Amino acid sequence: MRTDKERNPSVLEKAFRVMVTVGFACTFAASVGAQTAVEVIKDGKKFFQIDGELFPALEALGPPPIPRDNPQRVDEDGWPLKDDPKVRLGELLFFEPALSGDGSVSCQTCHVQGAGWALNSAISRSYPGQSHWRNSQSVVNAAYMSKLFWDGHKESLETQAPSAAKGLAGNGKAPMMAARLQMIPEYVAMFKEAFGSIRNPTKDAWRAIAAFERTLTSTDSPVDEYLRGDEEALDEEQIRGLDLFNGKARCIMCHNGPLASDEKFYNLGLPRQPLFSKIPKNQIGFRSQTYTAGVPEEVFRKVKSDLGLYFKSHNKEDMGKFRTQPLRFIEYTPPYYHHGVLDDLEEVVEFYDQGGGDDYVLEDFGFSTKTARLKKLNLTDDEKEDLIYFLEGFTGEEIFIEIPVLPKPPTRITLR
Amino acid sequence: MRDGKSRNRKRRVAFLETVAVNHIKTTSLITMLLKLIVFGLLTQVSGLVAADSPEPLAPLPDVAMPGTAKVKLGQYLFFDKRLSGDADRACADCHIPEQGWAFPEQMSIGYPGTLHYRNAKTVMNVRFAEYFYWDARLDGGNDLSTQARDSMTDAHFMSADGRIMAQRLKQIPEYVALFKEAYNGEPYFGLIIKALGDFEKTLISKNVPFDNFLEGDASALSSEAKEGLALFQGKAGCIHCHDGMMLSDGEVHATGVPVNPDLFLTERYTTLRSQQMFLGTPNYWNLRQDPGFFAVEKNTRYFGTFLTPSLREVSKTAPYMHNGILPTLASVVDFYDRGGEQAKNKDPRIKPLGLTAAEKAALVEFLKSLSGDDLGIKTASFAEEKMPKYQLKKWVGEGN
Repeated sequence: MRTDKERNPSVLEKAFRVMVTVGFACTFAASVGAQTAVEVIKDGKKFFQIDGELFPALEALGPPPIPRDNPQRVDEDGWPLKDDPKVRLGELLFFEPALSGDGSVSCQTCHVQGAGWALNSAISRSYPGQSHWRNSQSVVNAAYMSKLFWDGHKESLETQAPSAAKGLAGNGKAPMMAARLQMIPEYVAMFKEAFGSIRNPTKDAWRAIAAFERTLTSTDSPVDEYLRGDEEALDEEQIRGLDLFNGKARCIMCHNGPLASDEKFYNLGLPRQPLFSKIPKNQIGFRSQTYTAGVPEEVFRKVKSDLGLYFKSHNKEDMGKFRTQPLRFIEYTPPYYHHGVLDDLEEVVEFYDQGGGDDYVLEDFGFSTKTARLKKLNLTDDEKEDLIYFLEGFTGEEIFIEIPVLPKPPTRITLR
Repeated sequence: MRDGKSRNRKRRVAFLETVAVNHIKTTSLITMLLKLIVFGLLTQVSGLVAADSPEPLAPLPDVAMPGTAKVKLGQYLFFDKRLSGDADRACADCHIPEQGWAFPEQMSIGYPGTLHYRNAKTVMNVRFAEYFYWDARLDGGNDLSTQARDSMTDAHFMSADGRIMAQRLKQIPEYVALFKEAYNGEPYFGLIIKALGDFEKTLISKNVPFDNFLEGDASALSSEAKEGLALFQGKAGCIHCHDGMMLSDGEVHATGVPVNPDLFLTERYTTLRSQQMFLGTPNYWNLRQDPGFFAVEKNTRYFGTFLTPSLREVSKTAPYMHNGILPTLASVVDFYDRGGEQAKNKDPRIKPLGLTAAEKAALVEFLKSLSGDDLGIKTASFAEEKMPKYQLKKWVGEGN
């Protein structure tokens, strides 16, 4: 508890405090080679200060959170174990095309393990005859997020899975998917082991898939090792890149904390996606989703680019805003952004260096929702390289699992 | 059918009640009250009594047809595979014009990745149907749009999301023009199912020999067919359920049709399980046969009962029964001749008939006379390469 004297320090005391802080900062800077980012320790936690605001420093990732209503086995440090009935079942179901309308697509169809558990195309495919309207995101580390999908409208893995299986991705209908699973004896046995029965196969299937997805974590990147204290984990260039990240390049303003995302929503002034004007399936997907969103007719008639959070909140201020993307694993998952409009990290860094782009919300609707945080950065070519090199250091080892052999239904059903 | 009475019976009841009113005007109060009570009881019982007074057979009436643009649009849509989820299944895939607008196998196919467990019914004359589907779960009464919506969106039929379908059609200039001409509107799901209904309204039997006979042309039926007609209304007793203009009483019955073993093919059984679960059928877990109308009205006396199908166009829609297990009209006549087969709740009127071979042949001849001319609509005219094509609207500078 501070005394009255401490709460109202004299000028001399204030000056002393400033000197100590600056001295501390200088020492720290000297130890890493001229750190330019402004670091602040507050309540024992590390922040970086930009434009007078504090942003939580990057941190290494620990084990993913596990919801109480879908428990699974973990090791002594809290990391989900593969040897768990739900995880074993969920792994099969992740690859199981029965969980779709025509029985031909599974989660793996658009979250390909060879493409960073995402898809290397700007706009994702969906079921045959149709296309999605947004870029496919990686499943890796999705377990840490509380805002799933680009507009953040699902809060858990357990609710994301059915939204994809039943919606624009899979076109599945719950009774049919449930009945398919019930016909396969191996699934009946696995559901009984994991959940006690197979009377609720679709709801339990999503829980199993979520449990499996919680084993897909990437926390071993060089940046993670560095943040855990291994100063050798990053090269000098990457350390300079980290410093830019926390300071001149302003990335930390949104890509902060352990997730490297504040899970908030911003409009960056991204360019439009030309595919929508060229490919029927893409345009149809886009239009059907804007129609489904239930926006006022005047907006529906005018909308030519994705309005993101607005389609869920119906709040004009949210037009064009999308959730900050976490930065781990991104080396495997180009192209980038909700409509895959930037192809590689060079383009991304260039985009931010220019202060983002023109706001298509302004062009289409006459008012701007672009975030004020984006400014011209005036990065040198060396600085850009350092930053990119650092971002690459945020990606750990690729994650490959053996493709499971799926149980097959019998040709005929025998009732006992 | 929700209250156990068909529309025909409701009409009879209304007539009887008019008679009651006339009596009221000419009798004393007490007598009137007594008569009312007795009459009231009788009308409740009339459901059983009237069972033996079938509606007379009658020809199809002349009806107004929807406008040309509506029919043309609906016809294209009927054949357009893009009205299904994966753009691979059209109405016409299970309701094939050249197959009597039905499907030539025992049980229908379904949406890709699924199979159905029932025989596909004909689309001919649906505008006159009292109920739709073998389990009579949808009201007819000219509400073809609801049936179209049900078939388009169900997981084992076309698994369509109507909002996506509307946007697909908006990218096809010919459709946009037809919707404007036909309905003065844009393509959207409500108009899509309306157009399909308007097309189906034109699928009416033409130049039916039996109808020509009823309208006065004695030579329209052969003498064998005339003998068959007499048997149909007499010794064979078909008319007790196959009565009226449509040769269907709009009721559900069990006749002892045996279970088709193909019901247990996994893909078909999966659809049975999925649909019965969705309809809330008790014990959907352990079904050993198609429960039929039991899925609609969960009373065990309806277990395994099915809607009496119309017999118009019947010679073109083999095989027969809800599970397609009877391959020919002759086998159907044989089936009824031996009194159907086993069923706990079999309709008591289904009894061995003692028909001779000549009588059976005559019945078949009569049944054949219920089919009219081919309507001249060919599947090949709507092959994929002939359907209107996508042409993306301008993206920038033009409204959605």
